[in-house]
Amino acid sequence: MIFSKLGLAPTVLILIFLIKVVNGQFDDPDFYWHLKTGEYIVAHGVLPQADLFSYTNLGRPWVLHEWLFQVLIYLVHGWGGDWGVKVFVALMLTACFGLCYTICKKILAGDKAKALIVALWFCSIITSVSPRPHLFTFLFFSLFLYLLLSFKYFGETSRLWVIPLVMALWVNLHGGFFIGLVLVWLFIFGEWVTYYLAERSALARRRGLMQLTLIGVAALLATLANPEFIRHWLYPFQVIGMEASKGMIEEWRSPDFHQPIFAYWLVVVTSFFAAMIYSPRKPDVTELIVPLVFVAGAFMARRNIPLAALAMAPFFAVYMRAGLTDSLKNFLARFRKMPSGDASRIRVKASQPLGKYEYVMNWLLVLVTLLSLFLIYPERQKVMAASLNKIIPVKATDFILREGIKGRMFNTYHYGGYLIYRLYPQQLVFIDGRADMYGDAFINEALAIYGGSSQWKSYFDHYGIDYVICESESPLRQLLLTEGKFRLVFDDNMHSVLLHDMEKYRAIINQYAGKPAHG
Amino acid sequence: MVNRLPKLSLGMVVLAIAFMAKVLAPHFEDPDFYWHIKTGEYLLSSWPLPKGDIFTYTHAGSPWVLHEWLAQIVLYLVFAATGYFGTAVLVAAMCAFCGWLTYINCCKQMNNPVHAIIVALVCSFFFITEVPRPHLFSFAYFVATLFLLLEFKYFQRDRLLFLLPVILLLWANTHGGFFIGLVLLFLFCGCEWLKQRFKAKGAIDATRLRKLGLWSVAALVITLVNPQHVYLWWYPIEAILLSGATQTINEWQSPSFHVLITQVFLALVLFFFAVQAWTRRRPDITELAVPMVFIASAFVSVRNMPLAAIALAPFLAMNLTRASLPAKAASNGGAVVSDRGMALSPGTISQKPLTDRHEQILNWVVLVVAGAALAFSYPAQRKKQEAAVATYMPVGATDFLIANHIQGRMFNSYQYGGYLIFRLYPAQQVFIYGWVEIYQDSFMQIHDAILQGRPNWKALFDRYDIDYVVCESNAALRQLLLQEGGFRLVFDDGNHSILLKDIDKFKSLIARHG
Repeated sequence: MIFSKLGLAPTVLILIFLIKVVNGQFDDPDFYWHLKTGEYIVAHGVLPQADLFSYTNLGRPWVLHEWLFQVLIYLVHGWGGDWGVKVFVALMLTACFGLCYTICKKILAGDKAKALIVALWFCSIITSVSPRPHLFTFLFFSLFLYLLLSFKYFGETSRLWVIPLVMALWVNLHGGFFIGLVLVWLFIFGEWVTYYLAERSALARRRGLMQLTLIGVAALLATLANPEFIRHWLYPFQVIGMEASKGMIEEWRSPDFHQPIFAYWLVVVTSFFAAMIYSPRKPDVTELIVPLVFVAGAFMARRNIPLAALAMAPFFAVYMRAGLTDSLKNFLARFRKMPSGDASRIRVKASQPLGKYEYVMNWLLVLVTLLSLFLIYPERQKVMAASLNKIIPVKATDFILREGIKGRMFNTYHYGGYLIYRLYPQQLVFIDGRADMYGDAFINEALAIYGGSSQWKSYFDHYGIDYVICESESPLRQLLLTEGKFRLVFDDNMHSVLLHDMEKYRAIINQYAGKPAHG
Repeated sequence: MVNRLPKLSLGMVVLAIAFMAKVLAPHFEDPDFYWHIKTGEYLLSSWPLPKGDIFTYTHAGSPWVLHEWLAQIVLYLVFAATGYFGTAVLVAAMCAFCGWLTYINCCKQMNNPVHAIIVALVCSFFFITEVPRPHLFSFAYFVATLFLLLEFKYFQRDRLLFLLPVILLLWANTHGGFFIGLVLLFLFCGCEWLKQRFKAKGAIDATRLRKLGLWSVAALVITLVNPQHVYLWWYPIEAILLSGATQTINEWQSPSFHVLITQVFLALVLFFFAVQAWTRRRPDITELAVPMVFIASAFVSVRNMPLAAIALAPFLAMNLTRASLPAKAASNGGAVVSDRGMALSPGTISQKPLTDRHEQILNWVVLVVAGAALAFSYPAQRKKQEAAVATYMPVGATDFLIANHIQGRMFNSYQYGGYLIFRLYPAQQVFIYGWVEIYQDSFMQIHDAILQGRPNWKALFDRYDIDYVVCESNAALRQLLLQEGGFRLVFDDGNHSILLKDIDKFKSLIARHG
């Protein structure tokens, strides 16, 4: 047999990886300024201490809390281009899924099928991640859960030392390192309370908990290993306190349950609560507070949904292990008018093992998927390119480059990252996705200009804008056209470029003002 | 002297304070309140009733469904007789009724009035922002229906079931939310039927269940007794789901958990599930499905938050009573007490007599002090309330319109429609207002495109031949019209603006105020 054995779980992991690679998207504008920052760090060998991408806040202190990711993603992009980044993202996602599956399998005493179902049920919500530093937060969060739950349920303390080490990396990869600390300390708190409530006499347990507490302290100290030292601790609080974090920016908004993806999420959460309530095993303090805190975080901001999913999955497995599945089978048995006493007697014919044919089937499945993805790839690429241009001003930026347009630009908030990527250092932007660097006051000014509020004109004039790149639907576009001092030179029905009617743009205006370019 | 005072329990003190607080801190900044009372006035003064809209010139005659006529008449009568204060008393009374019945529901489950007060108070917290609108009646009917069902389930008080059709009859003529009552009723029946079907422990016997089923069917049938008959059943689907209202109107959208009131709700929901999981008593299917369905509806639409809170209150109370720290066995998957849905002994409500003279005095002192404090704060609260109304409603702008006899085809922000109808109808009709059912989905989009200055705003605006505009000062439309020069700004208080078309009939006004 030339093929090695391929189990169901690795097959699913390979499929997830392949599907994510083929469907990898670059429609998150923040990815682009991360990439550019990485390029800058590698090229200059230093971390920038102040803003260098915008002319409005040039020189303003900029806390670079994700420098390691930026370097990494730049190197990956340098080596493998867009494909390299897609593979990187798919690998990270698959690793999160794999870790979740592994801990579920461990909890479920090696029952691969159940572990796979649990991991798929909860983690399918994570699939739409983009190449951004929060990927590492998801990965390390999964890893911490694995280590902490291995400690809790299997008494494994030998690998806990990994936590402070990973934390030293995490603090330099993403501002979400704070979440790791929350997880570790919630866990420590929950375990101590559980210990005092139920297991005070177990000396070995106490020793283990002392060890875990020391690991928690070490993890906290490890977060000081960053270029900003103690100042970095303030960053999460600064971000949480911002207005921008309270709904102004989409990913910080609460989930909108009118959208199918969030409706699905609500069903997943409900299933978790139902399991928690109906499982024969009653939760202890840790089992209660860890998932609930992260579920609350997910209701506050949709960007936290993957964390909540990862936090719920292993505890759901705990409830399954405790007999939830048998309860369900008994219930279904009643439904089918079958004897309900012994759930194990219920068998479904289709679940008979396939023996060696299972591996052949798995390989076949991988190959068929691979072939299908290969066949649909060209069409899929077209669709993705079109959808990318709906969000990101790809063609408008091509136009700016082609015509050599330069000057003080006003841009829509979420265009900033991409414009930095394409135009820096020749052009600096007005604003981009670094909300923490800009602060609420400036973001509000930018929104007032964009939305055409009563003060838009005074703010706009204050910055001496030469040209504007914004959505075609933007009120600002209509205001400038009505005012008559700006001319529309590019419009693809999604994004527009308007130039100030001045001498340096005369030739471009003459060429395009009557009939704006659109591609 | 003290003996002559009526007896006052702690529950009554809390209820009275909450009532007074709500009376003294009302909310009148909801634009829909205003067109509801105008509709009530119209219903009482005009006969036969028109079959279509009368308040807009853009949709004059569009078919309307008078599904809230009873609430509109009640609101109008109260407002006409007693003004804003009387309306605030009505709102507070409705909220207090909901809080009181929630307290009774909790008290019967908890056997401890103080604990029941705390649970009821937390779960009634979400009424704090309630406004005088017909949906307030829905809350009252909902809590009454829940009370009857819980009495039936836990205390075998079947003789109260006849009230179900009475409530639904009133509900179907008061608010489109009568649909929620039917959902509650049939969800409850369905769950109890399942328990009975599978012979679960504590299942209600078939005879009683049939009785409940019959009264529920009667309640369903009696909802046909309304001016629209069977069409009213289709109305909630058409009005809510098909009109696109859930996408555009704030109260139909999912809650944002970045504000305090929704954060309290989230904490309550998570606490509810934590208690359900912690306690050794596992809920039966009714005890889980009823709160879960209404919690899910609150996550989908923020307006359902008070419903969810009062739906979960008695079940939270039930399990809080039984929640205790787990024994060692629990942490290793020990045996669980299997007492799901067991009937409780009837009449468990604590009626501990307040014989303690000092407790009586204390209750009265607390009530008087709280009442005095609230009365003392009333002038400041009133000012705050007036400022809130002036911030959200174009009060000054409408005064200006009336004072200067401005007439013509008006464009107004959606949010302003109700208030403008209240002040200007029948002299003026509006462009749009809160009764979304009369519009096609595309009309809301047209309004948004004009107000927000989308690329086609001008063509759409010109289509309606607008004479004047009442909109927010920050609206892109205001800035666009000023840039364009065809309209002049004649009023602006920082929040609301009036722009007049530069035409002959407004020349003198523009000259004076432009």
